[in-house]
Amino acid sequence: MNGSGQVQLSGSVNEVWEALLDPAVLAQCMPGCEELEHTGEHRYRARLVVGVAAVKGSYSATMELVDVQPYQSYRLRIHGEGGPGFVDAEGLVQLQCTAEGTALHYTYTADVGGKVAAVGQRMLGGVAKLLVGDFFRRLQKAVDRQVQANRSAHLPAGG
Amino acid sequence: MKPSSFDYYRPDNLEEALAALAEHGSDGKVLAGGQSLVPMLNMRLSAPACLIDINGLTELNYLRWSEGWLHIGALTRQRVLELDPHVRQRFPLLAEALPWIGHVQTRNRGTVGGSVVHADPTAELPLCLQALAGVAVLTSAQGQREVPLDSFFLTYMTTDLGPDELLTEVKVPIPATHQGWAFVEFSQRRGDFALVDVACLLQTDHHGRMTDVRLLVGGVDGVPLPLAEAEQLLTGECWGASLQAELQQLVAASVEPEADVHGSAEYKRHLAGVMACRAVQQAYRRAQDRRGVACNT
Amino acid sequence: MGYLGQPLARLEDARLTSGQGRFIDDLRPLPNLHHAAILRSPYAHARIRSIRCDQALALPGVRAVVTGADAARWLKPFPVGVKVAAPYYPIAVDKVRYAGEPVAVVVADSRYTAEDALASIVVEYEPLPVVVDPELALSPEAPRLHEGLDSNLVHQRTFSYGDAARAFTEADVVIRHRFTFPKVHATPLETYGVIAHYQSSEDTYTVWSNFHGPFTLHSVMAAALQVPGNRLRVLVPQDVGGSYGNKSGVYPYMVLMAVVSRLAKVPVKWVEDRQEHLLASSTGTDRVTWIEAGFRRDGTLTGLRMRYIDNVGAYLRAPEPACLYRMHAALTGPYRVRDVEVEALAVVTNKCPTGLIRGYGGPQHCFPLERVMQMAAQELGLDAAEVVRRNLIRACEFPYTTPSGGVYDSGDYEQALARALERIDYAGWRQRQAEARAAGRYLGIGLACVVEPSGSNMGYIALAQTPAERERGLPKSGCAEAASVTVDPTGSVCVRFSTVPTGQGHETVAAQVVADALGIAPAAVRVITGMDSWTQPWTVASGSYSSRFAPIGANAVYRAAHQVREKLLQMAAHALGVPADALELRGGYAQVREQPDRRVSLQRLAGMAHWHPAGLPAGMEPGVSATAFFNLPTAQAPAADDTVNGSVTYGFVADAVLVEVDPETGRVQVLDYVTVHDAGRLLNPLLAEGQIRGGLACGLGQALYEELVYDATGQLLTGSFMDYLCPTSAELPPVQLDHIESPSPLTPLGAKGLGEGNVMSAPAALANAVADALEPLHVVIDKLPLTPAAVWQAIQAAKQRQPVEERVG
Repeated sequence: MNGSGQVQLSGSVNEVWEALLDPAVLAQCMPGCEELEHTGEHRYRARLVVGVAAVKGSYSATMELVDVQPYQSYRLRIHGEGGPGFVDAEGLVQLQCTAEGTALHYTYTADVGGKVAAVGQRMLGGVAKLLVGDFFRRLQKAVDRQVQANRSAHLPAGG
Repeated sequence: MKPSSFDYYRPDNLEEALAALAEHGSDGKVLAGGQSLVPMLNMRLSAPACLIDINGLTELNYLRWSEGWLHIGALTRQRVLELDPHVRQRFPLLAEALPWIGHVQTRNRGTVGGSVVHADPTAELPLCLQALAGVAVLTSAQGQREVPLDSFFLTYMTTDLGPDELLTEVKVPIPATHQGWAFVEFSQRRGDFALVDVACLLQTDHHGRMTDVRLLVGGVDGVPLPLAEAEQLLTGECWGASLQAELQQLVAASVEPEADVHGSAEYKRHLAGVMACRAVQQAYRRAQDRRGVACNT
Repeated sequence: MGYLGQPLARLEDARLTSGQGRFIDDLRPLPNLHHAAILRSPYAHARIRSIRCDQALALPGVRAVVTGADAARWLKPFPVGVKVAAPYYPIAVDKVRYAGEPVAVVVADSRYTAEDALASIVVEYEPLPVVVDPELALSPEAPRLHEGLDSNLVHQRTFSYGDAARAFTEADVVIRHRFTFPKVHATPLETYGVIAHYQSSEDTYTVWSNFHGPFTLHSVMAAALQVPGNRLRVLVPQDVGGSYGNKSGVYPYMVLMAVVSRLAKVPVKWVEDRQEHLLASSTGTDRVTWIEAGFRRDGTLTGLRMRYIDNVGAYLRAPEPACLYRMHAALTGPYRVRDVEVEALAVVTNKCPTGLIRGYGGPQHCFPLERVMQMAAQELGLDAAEVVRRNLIRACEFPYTTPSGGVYDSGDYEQALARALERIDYAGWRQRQAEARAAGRYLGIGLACVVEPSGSNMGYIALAQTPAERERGLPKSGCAEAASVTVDPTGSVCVRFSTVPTGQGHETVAAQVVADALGIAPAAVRVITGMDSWTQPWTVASGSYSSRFAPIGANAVYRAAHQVREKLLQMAAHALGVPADALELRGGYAQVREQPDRRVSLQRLAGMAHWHPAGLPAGMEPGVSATAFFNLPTAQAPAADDTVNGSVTYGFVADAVLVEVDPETGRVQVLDYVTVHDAGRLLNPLLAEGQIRGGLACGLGQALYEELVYDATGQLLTGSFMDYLCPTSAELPPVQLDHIESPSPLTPLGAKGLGEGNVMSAPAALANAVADALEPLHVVIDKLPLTPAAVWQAIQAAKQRQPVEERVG
């Protein structure tokens, strides 16, 4: 499965970038995130409860940010394993300066395996699109909040 | 395929059911017909901590007629709705759609409420009840609220139902007697999930021009999709070959279905266009019939 | 008038329709029976880094957790027909190679608890790249499944009969095309079941399962478990809920549960659920075929070249690569072509391993062959039926030896085809088709003529070896089956044989055979089915597969019954003082033909044999019992020139089908289906009709609905009946059945197997019909299933392209 989309953010590219790399922000957008542990530079481990309606599963997930090009783009790789199956997703996140602030463009690919793929293939494409869209909408809210918080704390907005 | 452990409650009446939901709603699931839920439990795709079996709530099993409305109790079995002569007569769209839901055996158990709450993107009842401007009646220990179905279905298998709420009724306004209707479905085998299904309601004026057009497609999105642009295209027009070609193209361009093993996105887009035209053609013919007008289309 | 040939209602049905059948899940043969659940890999290809079972073991009710590392200590890899460095264990040892491969087994007090425990086992996988396409698997860059091999190619042989090169130079037209056939499942109603018990005091494994042979696999299992045959007792219950070949693939699970029982020190029961069944039991092969067929302008087929690649899944396991060779004797189908070249390849990919399935190689073979016959007709501007008819083997040519060594025992192919064309009103529909085309409707007629081999000769599997390799080893041949008929002291009759039926009605036909032989009623015959490898006679060929009951199993019963008959006649002759040939067995008596009141009852004769052996004729053994092993001498080992008579009897099926295709949606509607069969003498027409209809439904499923779809990462996407679509009664078209009978001269009963024929013919006939319907649009039909989406896609593709076939001359 794959797709793309974009969200509008209110801060400058630099502000947005700082917020994106904040683990607290990541924790807010990961669906059903129950624990988030920083395990290395740009690496995290988490327990996620993901699903749609009654079909929910608990996944033990690892996340890492790779190909990090400061203030421009990065790839977010997520691998989750749980009872219903596993997910391998990768999203390319790119920032673009706009008049209103920053446009965040994303493209993603996702492979789903296990039981959920075997019996749920009819809905996987749509549900993936939904969850990814959800993630970026949450990201949008979380980043906007963080940018506001950073501003009001008079933290330097970055180089 | 054995489910994981769960607690089981079987309330005797609505009050008890609502109390159970208030207490367990967020990690419980309501069991009605079980035709969708039980397989999910057995496959361990769903593992609620408790099941609240509402099959004892006979008070929710009713078909009532009031001024301008049909009130369908949530526990009404699909087969009962299918066979009721008054429903067949006044809601021919439902009469046409219900035989497409699974098989007789599953319709004997499956409920109207269950189908609406389950909100499968291809399901016939959510599509048709939304096309008919149906309203969901949601009850909790706190009271009752009503949500029109076109706002009730949020996305894949997800509705506006709160964790402590029970869908107790779907009410549907009784359509005008000269309304044309059509339900069409395309599936590989009889009884399978639809690749695409279409519900169409419309009326015609004395010039044969279409008015009050409702055209909704299932299976191309997470919820039934009203085709607003297509409805506009048809409004004020008579049905004919060139309009059909235009409609087919417009519908295909208006939908963004997901590919799956049963069809590519391109195929489903095309199929949506074809099936929409077949539905409109049928609805138009019936509207004209009801006006007593011979139709050559 | 005898019972054979009568449409006798089945004796099995009373218990099956009243819930009194005895299936594997009904058995609780031992106390302290525990239940197993299998943890299966979600990955199609991955290394197993670690497995942590401590949490699972801590759950109350969990007895043991067994991993591949534990099990491998007691196992050797399963032997396979060809030497290939790709060991196969019933559980992943350090690597998984298909999604669904067993990784650990939990033994607990209930299946519920066992499944709960599965969730607590923590496996660390290192995913590896995946390959699922057989052609891609052959490319040098493809991920390699087995470290011991240089590639994913696990088998390759070429064969040449006659002079194909010359034949192609003589052709006016050569049709060249590539066809694919999908991976499909046999979907029996009952899934796998195993009850295994290791008895340490006897160092013996006892395994109950709904396994049905071939019993070559008993030796395979014994070798894996490292025990001699007499320390692996295999029992099969009386009733098996369908198989269609699929349950021959339960043997790895039998071995797995046997070892699990050993390690857990309790008897273990495992019943597969539907998801496991679709994912990880046994399937047919998906195949890619390149076919070249040379034709003269008048439609005569001059030569054939075929190259086919069978995808055997993640492991080459017995009896594969037999999938490539089951049809080898009938390579040329019903046609008289003598010049053939074949290249047969087997490749491994990250999919569920394959095995026996209804049709076994036939559907994959007949699809391209029947398609090119029609494509040639199209190319040459000839009528399709005429091209087929021109090439059919003539009635006077039987027995007919094919270029690859098949000996077609009898048949009248032209008559069967003529009958089919008449029943479907071929001429009438060609006319109506033209009218329909003018009106913008797409009607099509498709034909298929298929030789249906039955009664496999074990020797054919040795074609996988080169003649030199065969020289070095023990030759393989034969198709033996064993049966015992016994008359007990009270005069009642018991029959036992090792065909292990799975719903075909063997009990009924056996009762008919014995009833006719002994002059009693079928209801008086007690037929015992199922299997106990310790107590009943069986052979490596025993079991139900390749439709062998009619040509072989029934004849084994016949022979044993006639031995008993002979003995009874001898005893009666002795008792009545008349020559044996003056006597007949009728109505429970041995009576003098000319003087029926001079008679003695079977009961009395049995009493004499049991109670008064001293009174028997000199040299006669006491009791009345016979065991016969029936084999046909035409089942020889392959010759040095790679010819082999792969089956002992050959039936014939001619199908004609009428369809209408809706080009807007791609929907194929079957308007009429005619199928004409020749299975020699029909032992029970009621059962025969059931088999034909069932085979047809199965073939229709493969043609229009069924495919095990895997994505590029090796995930099975059609893992439930929501997406793997089997036809139901609502999908079946009206079917007209007809029979002709060309009895087999090779067996006393003259019957041939049937039941697989339509699985081979229906996909070809339907594809031909759809291609014929869409001919004005130049649509190419070369893959299955013909789902609405696939047909529509083919129509779109045609709009953008020229025909693919090359022309020569």
